[in-house]
Amino acid sequence: MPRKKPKLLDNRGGLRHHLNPSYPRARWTAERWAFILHRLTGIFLAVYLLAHIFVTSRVAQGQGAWEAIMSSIESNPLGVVGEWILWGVIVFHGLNGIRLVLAEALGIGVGDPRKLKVPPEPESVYGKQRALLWIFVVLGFIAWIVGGIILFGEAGWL
Amino acid sequence: MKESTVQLIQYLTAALLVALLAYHVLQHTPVLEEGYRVSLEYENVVKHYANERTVLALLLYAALFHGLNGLRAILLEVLPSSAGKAATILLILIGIAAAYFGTLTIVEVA
Amino acid sequence: MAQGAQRVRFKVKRYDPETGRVWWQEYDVEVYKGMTVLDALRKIRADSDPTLVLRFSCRMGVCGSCGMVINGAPRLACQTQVEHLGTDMVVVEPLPNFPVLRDLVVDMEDFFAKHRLIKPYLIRRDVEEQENPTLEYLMSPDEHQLIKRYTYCIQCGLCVAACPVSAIDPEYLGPQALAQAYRFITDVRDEGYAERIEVVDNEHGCWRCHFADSCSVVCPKGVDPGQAIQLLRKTIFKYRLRLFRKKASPVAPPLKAERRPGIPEPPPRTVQPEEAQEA
Repeated sequence: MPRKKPKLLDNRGGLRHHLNPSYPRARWTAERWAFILHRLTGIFLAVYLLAHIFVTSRVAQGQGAWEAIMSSIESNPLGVVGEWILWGVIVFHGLNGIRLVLAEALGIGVGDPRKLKVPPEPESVYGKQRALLWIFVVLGFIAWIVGGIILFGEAGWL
Repeated sequence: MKESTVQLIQYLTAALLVALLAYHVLQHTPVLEEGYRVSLEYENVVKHYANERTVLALLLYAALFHGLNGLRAILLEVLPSSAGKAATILLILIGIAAAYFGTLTIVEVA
Repeated sequence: MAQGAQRVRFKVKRYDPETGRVWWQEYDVEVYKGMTVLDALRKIRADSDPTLVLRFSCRMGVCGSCGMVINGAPRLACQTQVEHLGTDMVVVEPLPNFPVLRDLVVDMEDFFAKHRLIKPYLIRRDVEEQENPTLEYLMSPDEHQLIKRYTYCIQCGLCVAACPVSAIDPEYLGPQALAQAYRFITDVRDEGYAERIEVVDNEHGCWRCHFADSCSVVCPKGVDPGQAIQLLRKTIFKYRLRLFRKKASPVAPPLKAERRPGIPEPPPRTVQPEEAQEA
């Protein structure tokens, strides 16, 4: 007699685990935070890119159309703050992207597989890419603040 | 197209975008221009379009590929296999439409 | 423990396939120094609830069957001491990203099927040599060091349970299979890299990894699948750009050393082989 197949419980983590930076509560993983932020900023930038193509198409319709859409952003405080947030998103996605291209495409900074500690430790976590991530976090933060000073300064808020 | 080819282009456009976007952003800062708002005045924007057609077109195509392929990666994971293929086709269509629209702007202004 | 026994509360997520009921059940366990979570769960089974179902075998982190989520992180129950957790309440759940059979036992059929997909065995171009091997394939200690880390994999499934992509994509090959693919592609005794790259290079293969490195962090053996997948991609790019040169080791040559001049012959055998057989 064939064995009766038991009813299985679907236990897939789903988006709840996918977007939870603290899910495997084993050791704090900066890479998981970076992955989630990279993904969210990526979606944001892709949507922004389409909007940007639409907005800049107003240049072709003459000075009036361009100035109308620009002043609607400049006069709105949310527009200026939005530009600042956008700048932060670009900086993060770009700098973290450099790290990812180095690690994923060129295998740089993920550690040497031949280095074996006893007990074995994950080399990729302690590899140079982790140090690079922190350097980029600091640089990115500085760039974000500088961008904010320029943006808010020109808006007359500082 | 092989998935590795797609991903290779994804990394190449990523590297290209880092360089081009750095330039694109610096164009609107006091480093290369007088200021952010000034650089966005109509005459200055038109001047940019006239002088840097190639850079802008390259930026447009690289960013569109990189962005939409990034969305595709997410959709492939979230959606089941069959819907993933449909999403790919939809994103290619969006990409072609946006590339046409953007090219039109560059050609018309310049 | 010196001052009397310490009691720890275990909160276990349970599932009954007959009724489809999912519930949390709590048990109080007296813990001693060095007690592992697996010891505690077995004690619960022995003393208070024989219906609690779990899977274990070796009790020493070798077989990889007692993987479960303990206090929010996938771990091997046999390698996690209750004391080290440092909490009064230990929450135990079955591994996520696997279908649950009953209580803490998960169905690993799909996981092993994906492992089989990447052909986890040595492949030689010389079919005759592979089917009827004459001698072993050569490998230097340095070459062994390249794959040694990845051969520690015990297929416990903790990496898949931690992976953010496995959490949403059921078809994703998973960190375990991809790390093993890299392990065999870099193995100098293997020549089946082209077949494996075809398996791995697809929409749900190695390109779906985004280097969150959760797999490497939870791995009880330090296999570091995160590293393996990044190096696998590098290898695939090299292969696609025709820059990949596979170094395949030869079959060990037959031993036919000649005696150096000046070294005397050994004395005759005291027992001849034929005599020994007769005796």
